Amino acid sequence: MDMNFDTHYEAIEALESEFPNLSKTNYEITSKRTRTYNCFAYAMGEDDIWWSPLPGDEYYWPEEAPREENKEAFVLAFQTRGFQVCSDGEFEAGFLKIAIYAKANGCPTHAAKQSNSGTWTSKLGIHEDIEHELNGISGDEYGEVSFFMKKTIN
Amino acid sequence: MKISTISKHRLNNKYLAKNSSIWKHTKQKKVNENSHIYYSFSKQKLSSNIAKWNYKKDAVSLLENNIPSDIRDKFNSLANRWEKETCYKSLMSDIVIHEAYQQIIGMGSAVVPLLLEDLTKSDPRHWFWALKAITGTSPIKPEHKGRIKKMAEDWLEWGKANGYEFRYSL
Repeated sequence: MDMNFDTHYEAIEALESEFPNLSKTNYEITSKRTRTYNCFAYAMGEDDIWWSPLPGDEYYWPEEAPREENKEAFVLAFQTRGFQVCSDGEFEAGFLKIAIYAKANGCPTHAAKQSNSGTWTSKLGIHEDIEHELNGISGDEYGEVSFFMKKTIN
Repeated sequence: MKISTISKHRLNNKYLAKNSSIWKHTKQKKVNENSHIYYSFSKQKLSSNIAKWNYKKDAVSLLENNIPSDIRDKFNSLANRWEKETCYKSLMSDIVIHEAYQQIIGMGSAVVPLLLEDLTKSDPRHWFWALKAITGTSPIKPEHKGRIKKMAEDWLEWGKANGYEFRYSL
């Protein structure tokens, strides 16, 4: 990733201000900012599109899932890419896992994707991609991890 | 030719900065260089050149100087606050329901040129919901859903078809 010192420092400062747990855990910025894709697309391995169940014809959302902001709609949407709900985020060889964050109302707010090394990676809004620990981005913005899904990989 | 004089001609002509790299691709002659800023050539030629060289990142609204500064200032203030306060969110409903975004929608058709102008940037902000709310239409092609740059291009095409034209400057 090509990012000069000042830009990198500003990014760290902004991230740790928004997500205080990051400063207490391991994390690393792994991309530049972009408005091209969001965390849900990133978790599906798609970095050229913005997923959203917002009603209307602007944003991508799988036709098999209702355009609703609840757990059931997100599970159906992610199932179209081969994911199934699973019990935990423990690393399992041969599987790709995602963690879905939600606030108290149960509405998903964010998704993180497990890397090959077992760590987690996220796209933070229109900000950078980061590698992080699951609780590194828990808090006011995204709430807590609500459930996990996994799919087999070759 | 002074800038004010240029403004009188802007509906019929497009102007490029003297040092624009686009010039090397044209065979148009300069019309006046007293201001040593602008040259002129045909709208049709410019449109074809724009499409050909895709200099979208340098585009600014032809109507730039016709938008009252208070409108532009209010828009910029609201847009910056909106993005600062929603920049970590991924749910579009959280993003477009933000009070500053709603205020921008409330500014109505006066803000459409500014929204379109913003869509010419290389990493455009998400004004699609606001444009739809203000204009009552959505020109986004089904195959472009969620593909931000393609969505922006669809709206800019709509803009051209509806009288929102652009000049290019460097």
